[in-house]
Amino acid sequence: MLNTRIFSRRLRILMLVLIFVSGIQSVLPFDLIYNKNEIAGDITFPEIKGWKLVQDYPVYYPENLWDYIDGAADAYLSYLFIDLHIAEYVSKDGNIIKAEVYHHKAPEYAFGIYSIERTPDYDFQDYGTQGYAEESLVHFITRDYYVKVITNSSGEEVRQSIPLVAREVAESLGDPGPMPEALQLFPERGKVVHSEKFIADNFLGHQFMKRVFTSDYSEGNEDFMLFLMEKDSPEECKEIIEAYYGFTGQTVELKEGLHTITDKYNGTLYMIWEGNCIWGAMNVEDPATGKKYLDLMGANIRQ
Amino acid sequence: MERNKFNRRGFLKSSVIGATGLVVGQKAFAGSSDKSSASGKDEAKIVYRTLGKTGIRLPIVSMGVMRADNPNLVRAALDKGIQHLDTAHGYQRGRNEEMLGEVLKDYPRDSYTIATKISPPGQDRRTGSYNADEFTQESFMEMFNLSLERLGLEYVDILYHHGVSSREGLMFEPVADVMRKIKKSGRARFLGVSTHSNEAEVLVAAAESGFIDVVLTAYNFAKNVEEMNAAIEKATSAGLGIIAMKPMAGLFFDKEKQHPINTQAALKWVLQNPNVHTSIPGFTAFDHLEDSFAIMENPELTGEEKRHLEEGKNMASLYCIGCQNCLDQCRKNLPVPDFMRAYMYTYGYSNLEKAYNLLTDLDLSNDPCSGCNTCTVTCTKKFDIASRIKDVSRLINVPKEFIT
Repeated sequence: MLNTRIFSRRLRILMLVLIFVSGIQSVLPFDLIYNKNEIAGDITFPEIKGWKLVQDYPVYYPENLWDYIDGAADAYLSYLFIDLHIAEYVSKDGNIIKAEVYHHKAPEYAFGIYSIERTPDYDFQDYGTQGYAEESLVHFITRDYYVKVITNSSGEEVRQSIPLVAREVAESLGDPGPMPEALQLFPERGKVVHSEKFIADNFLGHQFMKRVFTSDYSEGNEDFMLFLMEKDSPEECKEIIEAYYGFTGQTVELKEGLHTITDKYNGTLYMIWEGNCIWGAMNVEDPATGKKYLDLMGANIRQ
Repeated sequence: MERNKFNRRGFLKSSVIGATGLVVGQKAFAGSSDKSSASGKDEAKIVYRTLGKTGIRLPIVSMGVMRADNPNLVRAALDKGIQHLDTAHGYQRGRNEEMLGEVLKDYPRDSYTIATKISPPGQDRRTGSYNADEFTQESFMEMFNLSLERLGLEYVDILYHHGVSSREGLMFEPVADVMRKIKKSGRARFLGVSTHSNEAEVLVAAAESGFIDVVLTAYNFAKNVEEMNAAIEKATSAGLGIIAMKPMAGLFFDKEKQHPINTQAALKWVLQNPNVHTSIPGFTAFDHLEDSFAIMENPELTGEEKRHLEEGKNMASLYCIGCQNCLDQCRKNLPVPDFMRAYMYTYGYSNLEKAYNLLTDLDLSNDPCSGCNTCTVTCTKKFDIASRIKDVSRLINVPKEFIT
């Protein structure tokens, strides 16, 4: 009898609970993954003599990055953007230098978004892992941060202080670390300095081409590009080759070695698949040039 | 390099095979759309709409170039039938405009339309207002001239004031004045404004501005639909052209990326509104182009697609993004993100135990907002914070043995 009463009471309360949660719209098969540390990294901006540090901006996240950089946010999100911290340095004269620290998931992604915004003819200077300067800005990468120090103010005070602010912010972010290791596998010969890029997804407009390092090359009258993908397994590489042939409609045996891809949009690509790596050349006029450079790159990879 | 340039007429001819017998629902497009072939023959059935008083006739899908870094993708888009390209001065620090310039030199100027955007210096992105000391018309003009130089063009079809989030920002006279000067000089055929924050306010302001011809606005199934529809209606009634951006509302319904959005359905949803004249999904892959081209021919939502969007919208509305921007806003210093998490646990995950444990750990009453008449918290996701705290706090009263 007691058990029945308890059961009855429990049933009533359970029903109340069910009524309470009647707004439930779906039962999801996964648990919440919510980790503040993973979502928000803290940035401590340095104090700089003669400049007042002002931190009035909110932290921006993937969900609201558009509010700050408009449609450019799309590209940042594809490079696994985590958050953006902003500080302003204000002088007595009212000049403002702004420091924007874009935090990405890993150094290669910070390098990637930085790399698609710079060109080899910029004035590269010693900031962080790599950086460049113009009259009203310094941009650099350091570890998993892409940092932009910029101003709309003008005058000698600002011009002299931008490098100072950039160096102080770089120092505050710690040891800059090296460039992505994969870039060392590209041949030095013929390489266009500071043309290296990391493309996070849809390389050459193909969804199966992800996480690709590239560099421009020039030899004689030929300007071309080399690229490299390192995958977790040979099977992944095979899937990429298979997908590419599926796209082009070529019927070719799927085995390691040289593959010549005839892409109706991107022209002829020469690609080598060996183990976990695919490397290739595109925009090559003379196949012999392509082969030479693929051999050079292959030698670096096999070492 | 070999490049197989698709011939537009050839493509349309070949695609008619797939389009034969295609029946497209007309009711959503009555009065503002028409279907015809770019080749002049009644072959492929692309849906066109006219961009308000500009008179520009465009397919309902255009190309947001912002993330595309492959010129061959843009060539393919133009060759297949895309007519309108959207870029901005700031995309990839100008690399995007430069890439387009390389492509466009191979195309007759009257075979496409192009828009670029300039984000004038001096705009406070937090408020949308301007610091007049930081803005000069000379700097705006320099940026615009640089954009034309990168694009290799003498004029753009639409010049947007980029990223406007308030009436005040739109009406900031120094920017409006320099834009009018550019239009008068013939280097921009039409003037526009782009907005993805407080869009409804900006749309209405644009309708009343007297100088804006086109609004590029964020518009999707997930955000303020009724308010947006009313504002878009007002803008089109004033003769403005409406271009929708961010039609996909992201790629996933949830932060954990477990529930992908059917992006084709999302784009179709946008195009059900006949006041939206075209849209600019961001293409970065040839597959995206193929998908979008199919929608250009048939934007009708299937029943399954409608259900998918409705269910996803309900789900997405539950998720706190954990931005913590609310932390300092509550007068009573309540841990708002924790309450929002509890709300997610309860209504999104049906995990009452987790919600209960979280709430009881906070050691607060079951009416934490008691004594506070007006909520001062503005949520990034526009959640009604007070209402959610009130709802979920009731869980504290439920005996633990009935939760676990």
